[in-house]
Formats: sequence, C-alpha cells, structure tokens
Amino acid sequence: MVAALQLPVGRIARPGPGLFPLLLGATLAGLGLALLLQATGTEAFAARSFWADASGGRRVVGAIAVLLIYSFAVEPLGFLAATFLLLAFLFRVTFGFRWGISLAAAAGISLVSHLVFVTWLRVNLPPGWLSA
Amino acid sequence: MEFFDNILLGFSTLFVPSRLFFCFLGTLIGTVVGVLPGIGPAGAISLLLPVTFSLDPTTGIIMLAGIYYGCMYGGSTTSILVNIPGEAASTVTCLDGYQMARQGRAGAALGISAFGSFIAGTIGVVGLMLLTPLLTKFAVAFGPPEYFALMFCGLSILIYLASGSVLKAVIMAVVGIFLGVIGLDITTGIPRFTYGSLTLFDGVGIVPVVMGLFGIAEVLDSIERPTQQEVVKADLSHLLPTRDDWKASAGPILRGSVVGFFLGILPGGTATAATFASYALEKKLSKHPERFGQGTIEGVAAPEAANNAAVTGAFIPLISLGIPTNPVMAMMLGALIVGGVQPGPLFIKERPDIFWGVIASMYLGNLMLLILNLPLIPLWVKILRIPMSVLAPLITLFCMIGCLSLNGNYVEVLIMVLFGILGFVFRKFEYEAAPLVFGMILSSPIENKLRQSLLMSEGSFGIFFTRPIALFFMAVGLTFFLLPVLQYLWSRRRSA
Repeated sequence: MVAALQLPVGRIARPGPGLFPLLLGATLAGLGLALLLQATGTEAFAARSFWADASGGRRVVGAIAVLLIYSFAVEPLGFLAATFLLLAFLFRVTFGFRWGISLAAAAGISLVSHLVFVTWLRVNLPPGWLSA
Repeated sequence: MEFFDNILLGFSTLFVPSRLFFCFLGTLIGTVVGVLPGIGPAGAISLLLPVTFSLDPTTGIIMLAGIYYGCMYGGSTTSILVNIPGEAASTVTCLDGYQMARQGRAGAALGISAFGSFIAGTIGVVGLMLLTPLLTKFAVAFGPPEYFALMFCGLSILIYLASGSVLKAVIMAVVGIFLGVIGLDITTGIPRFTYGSLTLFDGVGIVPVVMGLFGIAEVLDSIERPTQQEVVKADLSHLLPTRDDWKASAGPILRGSVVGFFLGILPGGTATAATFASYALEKKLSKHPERFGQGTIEGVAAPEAANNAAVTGAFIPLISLGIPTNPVMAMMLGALIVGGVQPGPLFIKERPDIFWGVIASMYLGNLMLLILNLPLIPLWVKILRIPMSVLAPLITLFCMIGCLSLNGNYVEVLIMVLFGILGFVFRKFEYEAAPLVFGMILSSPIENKLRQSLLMSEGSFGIFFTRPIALFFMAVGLTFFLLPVLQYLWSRRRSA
C-alpha cells in the first residue's frame, strides 16, 4: 500500500540525482509485492476493524481535524490565541471536562507557556494579530 | 599520565556552575520524561533541541545526554508500578517488575533498578572513555565504501531486531530513506520531490517527523482508548535491596551492562533491543527460568542495567565516526553541528574539552540520578497519577511549541500533524516507527557515500567487497538481512 503510493514518484526523477530515488522506488515496489503475497496467504487480512470502538474513532477524527486546523491557523491567529482554542477543544470535546474547567485550564496553560517560552526563553513563536 | 590529565580536563570543563546546573536539569527532565508514558527520549530531546541552540555546545550535549540516560532511570518506575513502559526501553521491565510490585516488593524492584542503572551507567562510561579513543584511530582508515557498508550493516541489524514483521520493518526503513531524499540534492543542487514547496527545499525536518510519530501519535492513541492504568499501591519504605537481592542481581547487572554496552555501540542496536537481549540471556542462564515473568529480581536488574549501558555505548560511534546509531543520537548530532562542532575521527583531538567534559558529566549525572531517584520515587508516583486526559493536551502543546520554535514555520507543524496521523495508522497496522526514523537519518549520508564510492570505483559495486573493512560490514549486514528469509524458508520446509 505504502509502496504503491511512492512508486510513481520514484519514476519521474531525473537521472543523476534520480539514481538513488529510483533504486529506492524499485526496492519499495518489490517489497510491496512481497507484502501483498504474504498478506493474501493469511486469512486475517481484512478481518480486523480499524477502530476499537465508534466513539473512540469519533474522538480521534475530531482531534485530528482540530490539529490540522491549528497548523493552518497558528500563523494568522498567533501562538497564544490558537493554542488557547486548541487546548480548550481538547479538554472540552475530546476529554469531556466541563466548560468552566476547560476554558480556565486552556487559558492558564497557554498564558504560562507564552510567558515561559516567548517572554523568558525568547523562543520565536508566531505572534499573530495580538502583538501586531 | 595523559589519561589523568584528560580526566582532570573533563572535570574542570564540567565544574562551571551553569554546566552543573544543566547537567542536573537534564537528568531531572530525563527522569520525568522517562516516568511519563507516551513521551520518550527522542521526543523530549527533539522538544528541547531548540533550547540547546542558545547554549554552548558542551553544555547542550551535557544536558541532552543527561535527558537520555535520565530517561532510562525513570522508565522503570512506570513499568514496575503501572505495568506500562514509561518508555520503550523499559518494556521488558514490566514483565517481572510489575509482578514484584503486586507481590509487595515494589521497593526492592525500584531500588535494584536504580542501583543497577547506576552500576551499568558507570561501567558504560568507563567503556566509553577507554574505547572511543581506540576506535577513533581505527576510524581514520574509513573511506566512503566503509561508511556505506557500516550504515548498511546498522540498518539491517535494526531491521532484524525489529519486534514485528521483518518485511514491514524493511518497508519502513526504505520509506524513511526515501523521505530523507526529499529536498535539494547536495551534489547538484537540484530540488527533488519538493513540488514547489519552499519548506521542502531543506528536506523534511527530522524533528517534526519524530515528534509526530512518537508524540502526536501517542496522544491520538490515548484519545482513542482513554483508560487509565491503576498505579499499584506500593510499600516504598524498603528501597534498599537486601543482601539476597544483591546476590541474585549482581551477575545479571554485570552481564546486562556488557550486553547493553556492545549492543549500544552497534549501529541500529537500540537500548530497547539491549533490554530484550539481556532478559533473554538471563532467562537462558538461570537455574529457574520458570520464575521469569513471575516477579524475579533478575528480570528487573538485567534489562535496567542493559538500557543504561546501551545509552552510553551509543555515544561511541557518534563521537568516533560521526554516525548516529539511533534517533536520539541523531538529535545529539544535530545539536553538535548547530554548535559548530563536527564529530568524527578528529573530534577528540580537536575538542578534548567537549569529549572529556561529557564523560565527566556522565559520571556525575549517574551519581545525581542515584541520589535523586531513591528519595524522589514518591514524587514520581504522584506524577503517574496525573490522568492521561490532562497529559495528552500538554504533550500536544509541547510538540507544537517544539515544532514552531525550530523555524517558526507552520508548514512544519502540518508535517508533524500528518506524521502523527501516519504514526497512529502505523501502530494500528503494526508498523514500527523506529526503522523509518533511522532510515531517514541515514538517508543522505548513505546516498553520498554510495555516490562517492561509485565514483571511486568508476561505477562498480565491487568496491564494497574488495576492501577488507567494508567487506566485513557488508558480510555482517547481509547475514542479518538474509537471516529472516532463511528462517522463513526453513520453517516453511519443516511445516510442509
């Protein structure tokens, strides 16, 4: 599966710098084939379901969505605001804390981390519109 | 006398207030990271890597090394009290450690793993101190073919030691090598597989990948199954092992140290592999192998010694050859290079202060950990009671900060999140992340050495088999590579 995705990428490489990727692509194709042969030999191939249970699956998909949104939102919103929203979502929706606790914890943690990393350690985090 | 001069140089390098402080801080952070399940040394070091850029390289390495071996001390606590490994290298400790805790011997188990770690750590440092200069002389004889053969050998060992399907491990390693290819080609400057993205010009950063695969994936995992493991209510008053405990553990600790140390030196031999190997060895040597898994103290002492010795051993190839043997070592290499120091055969001669300073810090760090750990165990137990629903958002936060602080580039956050999802899916399908990371680290050196070798030989692959050192590593590598295939064919023939 992984091999199949990578294969066409290996072929369009230029010669010269493409030699090494081509070798890799070919190796991957071979390995993918081997894995397929091995997998078809066993019966447990498609028997297992991906998620342990449905609610767990929903929580994970929600968390993934919010993490993806975060990676796009952190630059325009800035670290402080985006992190507050991310944490509030994780506490409230994903882990089911009450609203009050979730908001307070998210606010506290994002403020403290801003103070520690930006103010004290002078790490460059996206400032966003708050300081602009 | 040169030897004592060097030791003196080491301690004089170390005894600067700021270095002592960071050595202490490193071991402390390491222990906490080790205690907390879900975030291992690779993740922790990649988080703190940007912080070390503002320190001088000696101090930075002293702290990162402290985190690494501190982790090995901390990991056992969680294994023994909760039956989930604090980090991968203490997985084996769960087997007997947790059983001991259930039988009310948690104190003895924690005590012996702290002492075992200390003894092994010290043995490891002595070995590191004596062997590295020797190996450095040997390393001068290394040309591109030898480096290539050595890295090939390391990859096949790692794949062989992978716990699940060998085929899957090979695939992960090749995918990793492929990821490492992304970016500007070093020899020609042609962008490869960047699809016009400026971020990808520099290649896919190792730090976002590691944090995604180990940090974010762990968070997603805990979100799906939010069960909290019970911490065993332990009697912690008897931490000092009894004379009988010592009698039973002395052999395992010493053997574990030796096994761990040499597996640590091997490229691809991780601390985790060392623990499995030493546990298996003790079981084989024991007069009562049936007691293993039932809470025998040997089963705690041996792997805990092995992982500490392995961590120290892993510094040897990094320092003498400049080759990282595992993801954590790749982070160390990164910290050194950013600090303007290039490890390799000339490293000890050029920067004796760093080498001997780090050695001295390891002696002291191990001592600090022993002193720290025994009285602080109740505190670690409190940390363990923090529910995952609080930890998971915090781990996410630290991953985000670590990732953003690298270049302040949101594309890297995206890469991290994507690898988090990938890592989560990999776990579901039982693909191991370690070979991928390792392949990715070694990708560009492997490719360069391959090209240089082929230039030297004018295109003949024979160059890897005509030079003695290269031939040796190729032979070892190929053996480990073909061994699983032969075993598979063999078992098939027998069952047919």
